Amino acid sequence: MNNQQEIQAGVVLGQRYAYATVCLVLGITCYMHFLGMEKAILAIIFGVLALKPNPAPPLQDRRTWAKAGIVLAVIMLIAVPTTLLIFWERMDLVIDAFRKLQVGK
Amino acid sequence: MSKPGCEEIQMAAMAIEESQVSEVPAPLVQEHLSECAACREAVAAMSSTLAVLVRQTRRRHPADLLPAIQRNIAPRPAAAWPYIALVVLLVVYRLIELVPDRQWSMAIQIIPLLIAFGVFQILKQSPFQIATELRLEGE
Repeated sequence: MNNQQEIQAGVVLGQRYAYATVCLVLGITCYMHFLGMEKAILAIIFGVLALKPNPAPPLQDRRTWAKAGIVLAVIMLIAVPTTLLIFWERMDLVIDAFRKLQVGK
Repeated sequence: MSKPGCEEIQMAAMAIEESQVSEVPAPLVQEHLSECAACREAVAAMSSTLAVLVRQTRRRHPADLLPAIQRNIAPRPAAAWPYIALVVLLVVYRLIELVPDRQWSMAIQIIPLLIAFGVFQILKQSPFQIATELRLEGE
């Protein structure tokens, strides 16, 4: 295996390791319900990990993907508590509806 | 040549017994042994010890140890039980959560987080850490 093939293999395997990690984390997240904020928190964590310069090398392509993901997640993290605060009086109805939806009634 | 002492005679007798070159001629050794009972006993003791040692056989190792070494140092596959435990615990949690007519508080939502945290603690790994020591396949 020459040097170029080794680099390519490293890149491909790096992405596969990332897929494996995301697969496990999302699988676990399926069992959590924090009004959608759990996914936003994970998006921010993964986005920050993608943009971090250390350990080298830093990400060159798809930096925009990570930034867009972080922005979307931050909006979600702001929107959900804000909505909760604005419609606090009606939250009982929403929570009740979620519960009914959850148990299939 | 001066007359050899008992120690020299004993060493010469052992050398002769081991078919090595002796500094004292064999007839002289035999003559001394026939006269000296202490030397006879000492030589007999050393001969019996030598006989015991000669009977010992050295354990022979196969010439090619490399396959066995490689087998022993090869990375073992990761244990599957933490992942099985993760799956079982999360499914059990979900089933308990789905029990009808039970008003669980929001605090129950933290349980899957704790389960996942516990499993990653057992695995001594973190999904949020960039691992630089991960191996390429086939390495």
